[in-house]
Amino acid sequence: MNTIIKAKGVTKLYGGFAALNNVDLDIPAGRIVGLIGPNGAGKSTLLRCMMGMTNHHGELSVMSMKPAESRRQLMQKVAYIADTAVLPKWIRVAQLLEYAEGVHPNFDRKRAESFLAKTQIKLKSKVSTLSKGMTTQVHLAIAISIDAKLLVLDEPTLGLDILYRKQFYEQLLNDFFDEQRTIIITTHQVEEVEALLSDVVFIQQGKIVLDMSMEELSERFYQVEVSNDRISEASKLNPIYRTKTLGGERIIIEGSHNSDLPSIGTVTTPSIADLFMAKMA
Amino acid sequence: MINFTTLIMNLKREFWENHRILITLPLIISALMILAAIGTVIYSNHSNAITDSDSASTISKNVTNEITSGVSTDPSVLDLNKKSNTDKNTQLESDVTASGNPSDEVTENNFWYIGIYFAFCWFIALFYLLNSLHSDRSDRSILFWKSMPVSDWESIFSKYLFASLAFAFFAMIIAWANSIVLYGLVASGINPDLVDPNAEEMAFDFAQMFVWPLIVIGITWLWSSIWFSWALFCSARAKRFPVLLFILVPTLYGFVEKLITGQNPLMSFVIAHSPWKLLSYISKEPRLGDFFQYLFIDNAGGLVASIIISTGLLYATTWHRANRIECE
Repeated sequence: MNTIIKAKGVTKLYGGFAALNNVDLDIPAGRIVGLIGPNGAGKSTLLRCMMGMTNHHGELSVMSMKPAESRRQLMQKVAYIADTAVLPKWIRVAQLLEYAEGVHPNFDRKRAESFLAKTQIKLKSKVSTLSKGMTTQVHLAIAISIDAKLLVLDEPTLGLDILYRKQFYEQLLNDFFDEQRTIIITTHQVEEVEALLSDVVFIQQGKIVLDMSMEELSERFYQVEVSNDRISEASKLNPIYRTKTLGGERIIIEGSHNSDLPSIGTVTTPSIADLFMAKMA
Repeated sequence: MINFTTLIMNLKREFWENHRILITLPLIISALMILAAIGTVIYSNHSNAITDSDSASTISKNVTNEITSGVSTDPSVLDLNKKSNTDKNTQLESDVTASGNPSDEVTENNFWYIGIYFAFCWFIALFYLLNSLHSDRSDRSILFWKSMPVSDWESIFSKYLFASLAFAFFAMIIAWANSIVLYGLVASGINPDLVDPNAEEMAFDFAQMFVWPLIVIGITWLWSSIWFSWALFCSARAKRFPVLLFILVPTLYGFVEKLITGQNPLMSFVIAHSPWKLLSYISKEPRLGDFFQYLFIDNAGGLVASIIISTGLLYATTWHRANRIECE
């Protein structure tokens, strides 16, 4: 499988502070990757390095291009949404489409207009008059109308209510994704994207702490619901995370499958949210 | 390299964002001029009605010339200057005859009409530049603009072009339109009975109205490039207040320079290259040939230095644009 993004020893310093610290990462084509981490972990910085929006140390290749040197060429093949509030407020929707059509060789204006026709958004409206949800839809309309091989979403649904969030991801899957395209998403609402993701990357303090596919994840991490009388047995398995439940504990274990596990409780695959808590703790 | 289609689209984008200030300011100046012209016409008709017809026709003629050429519309000034205007016209005629080419002439009075527009529009253009790269960092729309396949250099160059050329160009177009209104207003407003039928026809100098402004826009683009590029650099560099960086750094440098060397070559250079200083010079220098000699021969070193420094500043601006997304 082709690697669409390859990072080796990527470091980004702000003064003495390392926002990214020696990041190594390979992202194959045709995947939906969740980049997950707490605030200030370096998610947005990593995406901006990938998009050529800021300089960095180390080797970084996106679609066989060095982003910092070839941002203009790279952006012809990449669509990028950096949260909901970055569209300029003074511009009208029609002007945004005209601008995108004028500067982007792979932008399909008709597609964007037909997407927006299904919404309440008028082309004459100024962005400043749109709600946050509508602004996100405008941005999504632009992004999915770019014939891009890579879509990068940096907290795309931040501040949106649940209806808009669900609608956003549905539209994303229906109107954009196919096996030829890759999507990278950073979000705090891990539960909402969990079902979409094919790969997950955890980042903390500028370092990658987990990078694997969902299949690998289900083979490597186990969640066991343990009753109170089995807790001492469960403790011997060196759980990486434990939390109290009604009448027992829920533990997460990292490693190969142990045949004794079913005897101490119900074994399931941990959710990304729980795994995130386990790895970040 | 710059893609021409992208450049045009970026200029269009700048127009969408700034069309209000771009058109409003010259319109305000025009409205003030029209109001002053109406006041002057009313005043001159009133005062002419109570004086003898000979002097009235002279005043009317001078008022008409002065207003349509955009000079002071203060009636008292016009009245006091009536004799000197006649002398000036005689002088202008002799100059034109001497040069043999009307387009080689500009007089202080005629050029100041469009000069007023230029003086204000360059002031606004500098504020636009100071804000242009800073505002999209502060509202984070830089992330959207950078998600488009437009290089940082293309963005910066289009802003530079827009500020240094488009502002003045729009001001000039509106100034032309306003001059037509003023001509009509003054011509129809003055009582024909008071105008001496033997007086000279109203002078309309094509060169002063159309050729000189275009030359001035082009020359200013080069001569004052250091001002425009410094403003753009401050906008890309400043964390909070680009205007402070724009003013404080040269002022402090000039102060230190004066303290150490007792002279102020940098400040003198900067002031000499301001668009307003150039306007002031043009108003005093009546011949195109002399003007070109002043810029391209006598001050060729300063012009080249300005272009080199501006290129360096634009390069530094591009670097900041490429690597500085946040304001803080």
